[in-house]
Amino acid sequence: MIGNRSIYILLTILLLSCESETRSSLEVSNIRVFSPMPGSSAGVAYMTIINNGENSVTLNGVRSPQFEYVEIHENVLNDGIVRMRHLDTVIIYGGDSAIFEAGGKHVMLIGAQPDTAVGSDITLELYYDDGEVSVTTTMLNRLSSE
Amino acid sequence: MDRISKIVAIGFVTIALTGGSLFLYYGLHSVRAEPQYSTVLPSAMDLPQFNLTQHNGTRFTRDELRGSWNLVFFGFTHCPDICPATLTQLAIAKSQLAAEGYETPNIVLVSVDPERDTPDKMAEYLSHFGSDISGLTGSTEEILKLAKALGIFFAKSANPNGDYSVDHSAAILLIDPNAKWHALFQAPHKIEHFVRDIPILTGAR
Repeated sequence: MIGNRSIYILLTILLLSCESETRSSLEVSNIRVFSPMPGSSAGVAYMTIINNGENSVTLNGVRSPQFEYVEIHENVLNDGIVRMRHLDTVIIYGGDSAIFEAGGKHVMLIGAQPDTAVGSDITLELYYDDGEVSVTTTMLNRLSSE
Repeated sequence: MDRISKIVAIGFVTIALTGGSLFLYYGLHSVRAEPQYSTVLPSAMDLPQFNLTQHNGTRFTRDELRGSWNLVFFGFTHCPDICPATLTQLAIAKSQLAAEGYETPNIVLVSVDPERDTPDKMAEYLSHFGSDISGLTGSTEEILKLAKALGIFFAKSANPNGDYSVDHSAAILLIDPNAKWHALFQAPHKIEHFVRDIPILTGAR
């Protein structure tokens, strides 16, 4: 019994250490949040998520306290036609990165809270299969930031 | 003429011919700059008559395209990513060209989502980019007249949240002052592509 318990404890420690290793291996950089255009309810966030670990990590969703709901989209340009598609998950393989940028993958921010404007701090909560990472940045005006 | 003089003379002639050829080659190529990032139509194409409404509520037909160059882009105000990114690129390219002293084309955004894009909505949206962008909307039938003539496709696409997006061609069309389709920029777009090619396409460089 004691032997089994020790194995369980050891396994738990091992799993926890793997989890924290995978999470700490993620690096979020080049984060830009652009405010919704006048008359439009949707803002957009761009970033680069680098997976410095060996194992693949899945991004299952994004939330933000400053927006009603957040969706991950991808614009696909095919034969000159842009098609926007929902992504339920984004897999970032070990040693690889996911780039969210204009015309490609992007995080669509819908329904800004009333006091959210250019200059507001925006928090993005990134939900991975093994945990959560929060990043905060200032919301920008696209035209004056390009 | 002795042998050495002959060799010297041939040498001079060779240098003169090579130099002259290089001068002509580079001279001609620098005079006739070619567009690099856009495609010029073999011959400018007539546009059909269409009847749309501008963001300020005025009527906008093919005749409103006459008299100046126009860059026409199809998009919609609920598009959070590529449409504002493209309009921002166009606005920046236009201001860069204006700073260099070029006369710049008007920018025209034609809505592919007339259901949601009322003239008021477009006016509010375009206020972000400066006063000289025209937003056109109207019936789907009238928008299709212009879109089809310019080879532009668009179609609604349902989102899982019950909302919808609009798939659409991302090309930007250059219309000449005779309201004829002259050239096009294919996506992906870049500010430097517009800045380099627009003065060449309009004959300003």
